[in-house]
This record gives sequence, C-alpha cells and structure tokens, in this order.
Amino acid sequence: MDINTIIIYVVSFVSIYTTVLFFLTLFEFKPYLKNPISSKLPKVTVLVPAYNEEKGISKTIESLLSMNYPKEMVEIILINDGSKDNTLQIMKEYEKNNKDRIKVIDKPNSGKANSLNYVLKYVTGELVGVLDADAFVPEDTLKKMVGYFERPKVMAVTPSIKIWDPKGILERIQYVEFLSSSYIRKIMSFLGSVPVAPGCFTIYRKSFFDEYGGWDPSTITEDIELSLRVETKHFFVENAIDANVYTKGLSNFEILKRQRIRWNRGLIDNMLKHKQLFHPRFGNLAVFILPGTLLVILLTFIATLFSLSLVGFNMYRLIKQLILYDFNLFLWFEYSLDPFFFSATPSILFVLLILIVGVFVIYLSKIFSKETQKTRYSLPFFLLLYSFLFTYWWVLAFFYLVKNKKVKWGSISG
Amino acid sequence: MSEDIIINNSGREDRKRIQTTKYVSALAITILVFVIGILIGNYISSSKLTIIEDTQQNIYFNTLGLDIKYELIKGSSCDEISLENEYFNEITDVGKRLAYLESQLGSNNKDVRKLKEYYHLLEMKHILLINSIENKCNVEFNNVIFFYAIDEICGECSEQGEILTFLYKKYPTFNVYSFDVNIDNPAIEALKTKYKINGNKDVPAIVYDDNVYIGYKNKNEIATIIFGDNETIMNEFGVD
Repeated sequence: MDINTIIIYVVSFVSIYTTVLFFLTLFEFKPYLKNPISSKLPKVTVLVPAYNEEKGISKTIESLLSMNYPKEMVEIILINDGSKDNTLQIMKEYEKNNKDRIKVIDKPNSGKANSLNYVLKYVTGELVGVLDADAFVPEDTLKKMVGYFERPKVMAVTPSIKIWDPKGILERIQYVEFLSSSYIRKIMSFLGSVPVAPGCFTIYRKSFFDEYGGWDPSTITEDIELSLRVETKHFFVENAIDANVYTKGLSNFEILKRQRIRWNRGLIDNMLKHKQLFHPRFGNLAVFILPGTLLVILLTFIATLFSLSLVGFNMYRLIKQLILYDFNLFLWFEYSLDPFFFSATPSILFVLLILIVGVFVIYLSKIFSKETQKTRYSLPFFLLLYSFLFTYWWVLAFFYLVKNKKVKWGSISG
Repeated sequence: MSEDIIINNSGREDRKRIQTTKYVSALAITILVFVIGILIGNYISSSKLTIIEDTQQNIYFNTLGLDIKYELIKGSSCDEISLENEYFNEITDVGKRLAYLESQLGSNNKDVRKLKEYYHLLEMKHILLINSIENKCNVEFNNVIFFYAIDEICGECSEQGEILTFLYKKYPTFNVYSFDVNIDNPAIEALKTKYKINGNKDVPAIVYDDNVYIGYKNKNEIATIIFGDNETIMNEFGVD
C-alpha cells in the first residue's frame, strides 16, 4: 500500500467514524432537538460592547428592542468602550427613548473582556448574554433559548450564529462554515461537551459569574476560556439550534486571517490552560471531543498538503504532456480521454462518500436551524477552498504559538 | 409537552458519561462501511481486467485470422494482402490500459502480470507477421521496439513511453511494441538476448532498424533516430 492510499484510508476512517458516532447520537437524542419551553420567563440582561460601531449598532439595538420577550424582563446595557466615532451619541439617543429598558455605560477603552466585567455589577438579570455590535437577532431567538435554564446544571446556552447576506467568496465560505458548525455544536451538546460557546449571544447564568468570576481578560478568546471553564465545573453548555443570530461575514482576507489566527491560538492556549479536561472523568469531552478536535486539525493539515502535492504533481505532468504534444489539444485529448481510465478504486469511493456526507451534514444544519437565506455558489466555494484556508490559518496559529508572537485583533467583535 | 421535555432533559444529566456501547457500535459500523467500500472498489477495478482479457482475446483472433489468411494466399500477389495495420491501434490501446491497471492494482498483481505476459506475446506475434509481409511484399513498416521497466525501477521509462505514444499518435505510420523486461517468458528472454538488453540496467532502450539505443532519448533525439532521413518531419521538429 503506497503512502497516498494510507493517507486517504486514515482520513476516511476517522471521518466516517466521527460521522457515524454523530448520527448515532442524533438518533439517540432526536426527541430533544426541540427546545424546552420555560414555565416562567427569567429576566435577561443583554450586554452590547462597542468600539467604533456607529455603522451597525442601530440595527443591533433595534433587533433587541423588537424581541418577542416581555419588555420588563429584558435589560439592555450598551457599553461604549472608548469609541472615537459617533457610537456613544447613537447609544444615548436610544437610551433617551427607552429609559426603562436601555442603560448606557461609557468607559475608556479597555478591550472586550474588561468592558464586560466592568458592567457585571450593573446587571440585574438572572441570565446574561452578549451581543456584538455588528450582529442582530430575530424576534424569537431569546425565547427559544431560555427554556434550557430550567435545568439547574445548565450554565450557558448557545444559539446558531449565521452569516447575514454573504457576498463574495470569503463571506460565502464563512456562511457554510458557520451553518455546518451549528449541527456539530448541537451534537456536542447532546454529548454534554461543548468546548467552544461563541461569545455572540450565548446566554449565561449570572450566578456562574458570581461564583467563578467573569470573562478572563488575559486570554485572546475570552468566550472559549469561559466555555471550557464551565466544562471544568461539570456544568452544561446547551445549544438551541434554531435560535439564530446573524452577523456580517468578513470580506477582507487579512482581517479574516487575523481573526482565525486569534481563534485558533485562543483554542490551543485555553486547552493548555484547562488541560485537566483531558482526564477521562470529563467523559466525552476528554475521550472524544477534545482529542478529536486536535486529530481533525492534524488530519486536515496532512490531507491538504497531500492534495496540494497531488494537484501540483498532476499540473506538472499535464503541462509537460501539453508541451510534448506541442499544445495540440485534439491529439492530447485522444491520448488521455478514455472512459476506461475513470475508475472507482476504494480511495475514490471514500473521498466521494466523505463529500456526500459533508453535503448532507450542511443540509441537516440548514433544516435543523431553520435557515431561510438562499445563497448561490456558497457550497462549491466552501468545498473547494475551505480545507486550504483552514490549514493555512492553523499553520499560522501554530507558527505564532511557537514563535510566541502576539496576535493582533481583527476587530473587537467576533 | 413542554413539561415532558423538561423532565426528560433533566433525566439526561449523565450525557457527559462515556457510553462504551455507542463508541464500539460506531467502530463496528465504520469497519463495516470500510470493508464494503474496499470490496466494491476492488471489484470495480478488477472488472477492468475482464475488459482487457476480452480485448486481448479479440486481438488474438484477429492476429490468428491474419496469420491464416497470409498462409492461404502465400502464393498470391501482394495486392491481395492489404497492408494490415489496423489491429495495431488495438494493441496500443491495450498496452495503455494495462499500464493504467498496473498503476491502480500494483505491478505485483498476479492477474495484471499474466495479462501483460499474454500482451507481450501478442505483440511478438504481430511483429513476426509484419516481418513476413515485409519480406514477401517488399514493403517497409516502421517498427520500434521499446524495452522498459515499471516506474519504481525506471523513473524515465514512463516519460519515454509518453514520447513514443505521442510520435505514434502524430505519425501513425510506425508501430511501437513495448516490452517490460521483467516479465518472465522465454520469448521475451529471446528478444532481450537478440538485442543484448541486460535487464533493468539497460532500460529505457529503443530498437529501430535493428539498431539498439540504450538510455532515455528526448523528443528530438527520437525524431532523429526514426525520421532522420525525412526532411519534412525533421523540419517540423525544428531539428537540423
């Protein structure tokens, strides 16, 4: 067996195993796909930290004001983190018109985690969530999430984060990436192990902060740190898959790259910080989810390098052949296009199977999360390019880790 | 209904726990899928062997037919023997397909080796037939004999093969007969002995007009060997 076949077999085996385990879990927990309905609606405080967000913040605030949640049970705290534009003025305007519901806190710039911790003392809700100033929520999102808190051991509930109105290749790729991660996160919640609860509109139980502290300003990804901390205390992070939150995708390659290096680096940093989570007493998280995440990163890296070398080799051969054939395409086609050569070896079958399963998972995500946006060409762009981008971002993240380079922030949100 | 879900959800506080049965079941299903995939894939690849077998059988009948026809009309004029070259296309195609199967199933595959041996014998039969026609009718075919070894042994051989295929496609007036020097058969051994080819160390090697050229030859060198006296073709290659 040559090295190519071994790589394809190993990658296929791990992919098929994960898929089967996820499907078995889905079947086991199918009745729990529906969100539990709360017997009484708890008071929720939504924090909106903003730094220079004058363009998008109105839409964010409007969406919070339009939620179909009892008005007296929602408290909105807008935090101006030392913005240099008109963010504060816009916030004040909304506060003036909604005195009973909105509170504005103006403070010097200190970063997201510090800003959130600073306002925790003002929070009166039993539950607390954070909505980035470039995101917005449909009216029913919050109501779908709060039912999970009837179980006392649930400390956080994550929504499905979606890219709003994706344009261009990069945003379309992020759209499919975010969509498919909603299914994965739901299954992880069924396994009682959600290592990453994204900061955007994850709702937390306020008492967790009172007992175990707030957001950690020393980490570059305070949301990952917080969700891993919830896991270390044997609490639950749940997921309401059809509770959607929309955010804008990043269309600038450089900013997106910086964001992903930060996320990836943050994941590794926090896995190291909470390395006790790899002990089998943490159940599925320790034996499957965390090692599986690392294995997927490693295998994607190997598979991508392998496909790149394969593409490179075949391009080289093709160019050499075309030169040999004096670019006489007719003659070359006659030489190379024989249906006999289109074969189905086990390796080709496995690659096809993974592709079909991948598309099916994206379809399931769309159905379960009740996604209504219709986007064109997102899937082909995703299938063609994502693994290369994923590998590129991870290689850079490890490079930064080894070199101990500081990660610049793409933006305050995300 | 909502109460039910809440109660049921409360009953799943053990969901962090490792369910060995689930992990083992997933492993069993994965192994099953894997085995089925390998079986189907191998079946499809092997079914191509049958296609080759059928084509070779055809070539055998055609060559035999031609042979008999030639014997029968030995005494007649050469006009009645059309300068049969049509089966050569088929021979070349089988050669290409065999090379592909070899890359898919491995050069050590028993079936592939058997088919290859048979293929080489057919090629020789064709050479002999062409030689007899040449002698009787005083015509000349451009026959090139190409000795090679598989990629793992001879890196340049497949490239040499591609150059020869190209020349054959472009100028179908000459025939290329390829022989893997590592196929064990007395007839192939005799051919190797005739042209003094000492196994792997002499490949790639080309025989044209009974002259043996050992080592890799690029497009222009091959053109010079084969078309050296044909000014028009040589001009096409830009060779002085």
